[in-house]
Amino acid sequence: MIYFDSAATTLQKPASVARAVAEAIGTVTTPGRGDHPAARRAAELMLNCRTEAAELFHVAQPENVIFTSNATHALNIAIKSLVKPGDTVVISGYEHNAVTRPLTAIGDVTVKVVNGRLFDPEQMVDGFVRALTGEVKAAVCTHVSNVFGYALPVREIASLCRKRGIPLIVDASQSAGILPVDVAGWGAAYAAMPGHKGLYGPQGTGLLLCGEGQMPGPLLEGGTGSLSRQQEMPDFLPDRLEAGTHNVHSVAGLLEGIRFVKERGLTRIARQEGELMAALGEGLERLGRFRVFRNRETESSVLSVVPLEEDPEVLAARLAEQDVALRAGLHCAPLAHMTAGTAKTGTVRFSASVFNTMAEVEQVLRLLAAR
Amino acid sequence: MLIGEALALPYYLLLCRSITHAQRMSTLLERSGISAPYYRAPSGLTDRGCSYAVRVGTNHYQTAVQILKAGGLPPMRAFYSAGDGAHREVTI
Repeated sequence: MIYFDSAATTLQKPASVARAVAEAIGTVTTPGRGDHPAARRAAELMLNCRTEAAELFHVAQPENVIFTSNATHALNIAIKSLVKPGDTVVISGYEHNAVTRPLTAIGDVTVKVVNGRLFDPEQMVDGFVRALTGEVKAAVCTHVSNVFGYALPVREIASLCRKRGIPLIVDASQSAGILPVDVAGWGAAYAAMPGHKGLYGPQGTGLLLCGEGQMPGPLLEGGTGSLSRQQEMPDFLPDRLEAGTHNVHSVAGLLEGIRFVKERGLTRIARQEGELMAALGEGLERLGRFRVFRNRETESSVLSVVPLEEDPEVLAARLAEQDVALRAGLHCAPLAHMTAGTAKTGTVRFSASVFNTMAEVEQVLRLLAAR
Repeated sequence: MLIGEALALPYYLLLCRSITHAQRMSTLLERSGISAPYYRAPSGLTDRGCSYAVRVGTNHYQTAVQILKAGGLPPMRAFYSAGDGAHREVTI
């Protein structure tokens, strides 16, 4: 199979990830409960993963790295900690349903959407300058659009938020493991990310990175292995947000995924994936049957196209029959399509990982050229 | 092994708020050359239930507390034991 759906989930994982999960299943239990060797091994594993993540994403301390089920879970915690009914929130026009649905569920929230053109970071910054007014309680911005691979100017937006005292939530779902995520440098309140995309961990893992001074509210209450006589959740991290038994086996895999990314290096990863998607974009443009959304000036691991002569879903299904995996549709981000003008059809999305090759790009182009 | 069981020597227990806190305190002290294993705290030391404690020898207590405070990981409370199983809270 040629797999170009890594923006959803990376299929190919480093061998060390699978080995770690398999080893953990037979050797570790849950941290913070018993004090026997299996529980201790679990505790060491969890702290190692928190520490590695804190280093990679510039989080002040390992306690501020929270294990979640996925980025959606992390975003829900962050959003519901900062936003209450009656509040006003600013979001970019490229947010995922993982952002817009929680805001809708809170109810009575005024959402100001900054609709900047695709691949025009200056316009996006200008929009945030105008939107971040005094009544705004929080801002949410995706680092990279999951539909178009557009890297939004998060550093500049974070700077604006910091100066105006508005907490910022960064959705790093498409950037974690590919671009630098700098929680401390940005001064972000929170960053959310999945473990199963660019970090090459198993599905069912995610991270919420908490900025300094944040004390989020839990989505779940329950046992934490700490302060057990107290009926309120602990007022310290990570226990406050981690009720119930952890997905330790998968965290073992995530730890190895993070180590893989650190060893390979973000610059190298971004360049490799960017070159693949650039070559694919150029090839598709040459075919003349696609509207190709790409920024020629920056690398991207995600490439969306709209076929001019075929329904996106039909094209994706046809390629699936030819053993090419990709995704068509709205990619759970209808707002991004409304902003970019592709809401009617959606797009066909190609997304790379470090396990893709130029030979695969060429093969996909041959298949598309042959119809 | 119970705390203090292996050797009936005096020691201090530094109470932690969570296992993560205990692990980080232990690591910080060990990196500074101070033996600092962590354990589940004896039930009599906390009225809030389920906690962890780092054990340090009496000769390292003051230095350990200084290192932990400087490292942003101050203990919640501290207890002295003469090695007889009884614990007496001390001011940090």
